[in-house]
Amino acid sequence: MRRSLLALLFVAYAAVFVRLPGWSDSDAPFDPLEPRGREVERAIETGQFAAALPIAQDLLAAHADDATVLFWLAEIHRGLGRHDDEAAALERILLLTRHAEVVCPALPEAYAHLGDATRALDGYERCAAAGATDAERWFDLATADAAAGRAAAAEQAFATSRTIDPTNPRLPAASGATEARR
Amino acid sequence: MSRGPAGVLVRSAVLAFCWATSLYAFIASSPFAYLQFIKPRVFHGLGTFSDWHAAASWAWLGLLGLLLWPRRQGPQARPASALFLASTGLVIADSVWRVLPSLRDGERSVAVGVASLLPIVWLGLLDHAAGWSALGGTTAAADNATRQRQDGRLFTAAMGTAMLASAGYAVLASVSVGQAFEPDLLSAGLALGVMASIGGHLLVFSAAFVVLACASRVGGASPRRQYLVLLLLATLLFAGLFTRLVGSSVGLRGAQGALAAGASGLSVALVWGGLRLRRYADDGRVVDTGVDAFLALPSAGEPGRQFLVPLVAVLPLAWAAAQLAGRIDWDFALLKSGVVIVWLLTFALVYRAAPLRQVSSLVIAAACGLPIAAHLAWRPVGLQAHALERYAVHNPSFLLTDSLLREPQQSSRFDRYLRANTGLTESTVQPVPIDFVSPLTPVEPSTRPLVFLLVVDSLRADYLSPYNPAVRFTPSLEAFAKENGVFANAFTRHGGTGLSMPAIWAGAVLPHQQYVHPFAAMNTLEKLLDVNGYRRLQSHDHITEALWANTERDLVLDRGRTEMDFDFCGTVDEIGGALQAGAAIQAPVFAQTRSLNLHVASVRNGFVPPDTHYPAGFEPPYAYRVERIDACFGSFVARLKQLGLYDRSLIVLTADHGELIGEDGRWGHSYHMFPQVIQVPLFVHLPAAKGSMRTQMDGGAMALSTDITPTIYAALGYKLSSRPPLAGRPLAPSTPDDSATRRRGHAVLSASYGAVYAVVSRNGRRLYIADAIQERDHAYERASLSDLRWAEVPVDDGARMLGRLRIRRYVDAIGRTYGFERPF
Repeated sequence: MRRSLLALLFVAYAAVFVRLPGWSDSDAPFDPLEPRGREVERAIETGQFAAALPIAQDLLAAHADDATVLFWLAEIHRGLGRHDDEAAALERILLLTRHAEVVCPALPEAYAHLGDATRALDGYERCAAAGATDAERWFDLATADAAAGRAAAAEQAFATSRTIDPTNPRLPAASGATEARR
Repeated sequence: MSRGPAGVLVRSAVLAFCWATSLYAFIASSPFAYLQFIKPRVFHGLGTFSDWHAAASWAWLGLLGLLLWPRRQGPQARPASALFLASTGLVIADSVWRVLPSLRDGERSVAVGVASLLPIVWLGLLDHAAGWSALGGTTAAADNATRQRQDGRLFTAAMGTAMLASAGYAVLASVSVGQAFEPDLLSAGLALGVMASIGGHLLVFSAAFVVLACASRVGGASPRRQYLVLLLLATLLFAGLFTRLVGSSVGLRGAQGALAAGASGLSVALVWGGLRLRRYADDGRVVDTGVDAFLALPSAGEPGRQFLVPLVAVLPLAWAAAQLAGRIDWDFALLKSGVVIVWLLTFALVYRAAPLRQVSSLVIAAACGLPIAAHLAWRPVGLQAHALERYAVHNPSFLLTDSLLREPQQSSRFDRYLRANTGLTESTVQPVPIDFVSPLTPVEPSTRPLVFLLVVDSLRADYLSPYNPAVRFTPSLEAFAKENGVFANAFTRHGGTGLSMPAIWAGAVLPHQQYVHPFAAMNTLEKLLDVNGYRRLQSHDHITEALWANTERDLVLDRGRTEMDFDFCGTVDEIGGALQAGAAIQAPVFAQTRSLNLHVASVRNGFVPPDTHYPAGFEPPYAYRVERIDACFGSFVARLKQLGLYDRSLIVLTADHGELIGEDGRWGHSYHMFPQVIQVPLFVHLPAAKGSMRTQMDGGAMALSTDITPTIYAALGYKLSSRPPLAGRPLAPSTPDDSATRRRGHAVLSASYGAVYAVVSRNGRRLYIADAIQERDHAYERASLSDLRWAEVPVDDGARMLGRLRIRRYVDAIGRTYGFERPF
């Protein structure tokens, strides 16, 4: 075997095993442990939402579509009472991750805060569909359905919630409420 | 000493004793391993080894003398005598100071570990001196044709080993998969696993070939230089394996970890090389390459027949190694070590059989380039990654190649952050007072119930009929559950006793340190008992002794027993006896124990009485002990009723953590955070006077072990005035708001002995695990509360993002609460 081939193979293996820096950095996502990310986290934890907002916006400009940054933004907007911006950030996350646990029930709650009952209900439906094994998501949907006067849909959602978790003590009362509305 | 069987036996005994001593010392140097294994003597064998070490070292000295006897004359007489004299000194010191039993965490243990390797290193050097002539006076063939043939032989051995190891372990894996329920490993999944395994093995062994070929060239034409380069490589290889398989498992890091790994690696490399050289010299054979010196000269026999030996040997060898690892393993350290041994032996056997024949550069380039290209081009994700995870459960060799080749995850910085905040060893964390009621004043004597905190180490909920209808062997707990609160959805805050028990007593999450002293300000349970004048009946284990104050005033349960012999039946019988003798007349009684009947070290003996059978799916030795505990618990409750104390009692029966009983080849709890380890049973019997509280328990909502002490406060009638950060909350009374909070929230849990964290959400039906030791994450789901089977599901980006965010906030909150900030 030629020396040159051996040297080439050695370098190739070194790249694989030693994981030369630069191989996977190009598509590395934003690291929430970066100092600015921690700054945002600290500000959120201490309720300094106004201070956190510009940093989070800067981060989003540098890392568009990063779910963590969007999540922070949603939290910040909620803290500032800007539920339209919160909903927009959460919608974006749901689109990116399709992971209901990240945005539920914050997303429909944001619409509810905005007084948009239709989109709130739609949000609860999407949360229930995306987190199909989560009894609480079905409970939320049932409660929203009941509030919107959709008794049959509410009963069905309560029934689904009950099937997943029959021990929820709030279920009978809520179910009764639907009956009362009907 | 001869080279016959007796000689091999003596040498093996001498080496094994030194390595065992050093391994013991290195393990003892780790704070968590010392506190959780060595001190409580979890494994009897370890304790016995330590107790008898001084006596056994005299026998070892005798064997060493036998080994050195032939060297009493000649050029090695002086160094051999010096070795014997130095060893005699070590043995005398060991006998006078009883070194091993005195070892505890810290640098001294590392020093003892390194010192106990010195005789081996010395012996290895003597062997090198004796066998050096086998390399002397010759030059490795420098001509190109011979070099090509040597490369060809090495290449054939590497490829042959890769294929043999892949094939052998694939056969074992197929048998294992066939015996398990593996929907992900039907034909396509299995084929994917086999292909990935072949690719992984080819990559590892072709890399070994390239490294060895390079090392031979670095050594130049001199076989001695080649040998020295390879000796250095072998030292690094074994040191690396020590770090990966032992050091990281027991938290041996930094300079101490490097020293331990280096000394261990050097000792193995010197012994191996020394023995080979000595043998060549004794046989009068000359070795002209460094690789041959370590492995074998070309065989004179027919290559085809020679290959038969490794072909036949690899399968039983692999099977035996996996069986040996079995139940005493710690995060697959033994299993992986067994695979390494199988690989090395197979490589040596194949190398011996491989002919000196040239292989074209094109073939070598293709055979090496293809696995590299495949590795770089194919990153299994989603279902493929999941199927491979499952395949690794059944194929230990693939498990090892996979862990060697795995690309770092996108944010290993997160793992570093977790590791930096876990297992704090310095004493900079100061105790922070935890108070549920301030000021804490005694309640009316008439409202003080008897309190029994009965913890069964490693008790799994699904072995109890209130949790699993398939269980037919726990009638007492079934009856108890019908009358009392059963929490179907309970989790321990910490996998592993070390932090789990203190967190129960504090009723709060604590810094990840074993331990913060003094603990009294954080021990909310002890404060409650003291202020209300409780008489304490406690089993004293290594944690109560370390953390509870005024233990000399306790009525000690299980007195005279070693901790691992704490038996539930004996202890509750003792408590019953004390109550019958009037222990609760003068003052209310608090009784606490942590029984070890079900600990993996106890169950390991496998005892089950003849003609005792359990349904399929239940591990008989474990089920038998659970059945016995159930019967004793029933007797204890009956005794309380008979004494008229039951209605005045608050009884909590729980576990400090669960247990893995062979799931995916894992036993015990280690630093795992799998569902079987973190889910625990929790039963609460409230005094009759608190009947209304009983109806206000939400047994289906998520409960945590840190909720137990707040519940005891509430049962005594305290209204909790404050909820300290990271603290639990009473399980009763439970308002609709409490119930909703528990059901809708999430909880972060952590292992006691390593940087492994878990997030439980969806009211205990979803689990995200971030394992910063293996640098992996996992997710599990179960369809409903009554579903006992957790299914591993792929981790998507959303789950990872949210899981990491929650864990980070939890870890940050601990740092803030206890006043320390860790760098990362």
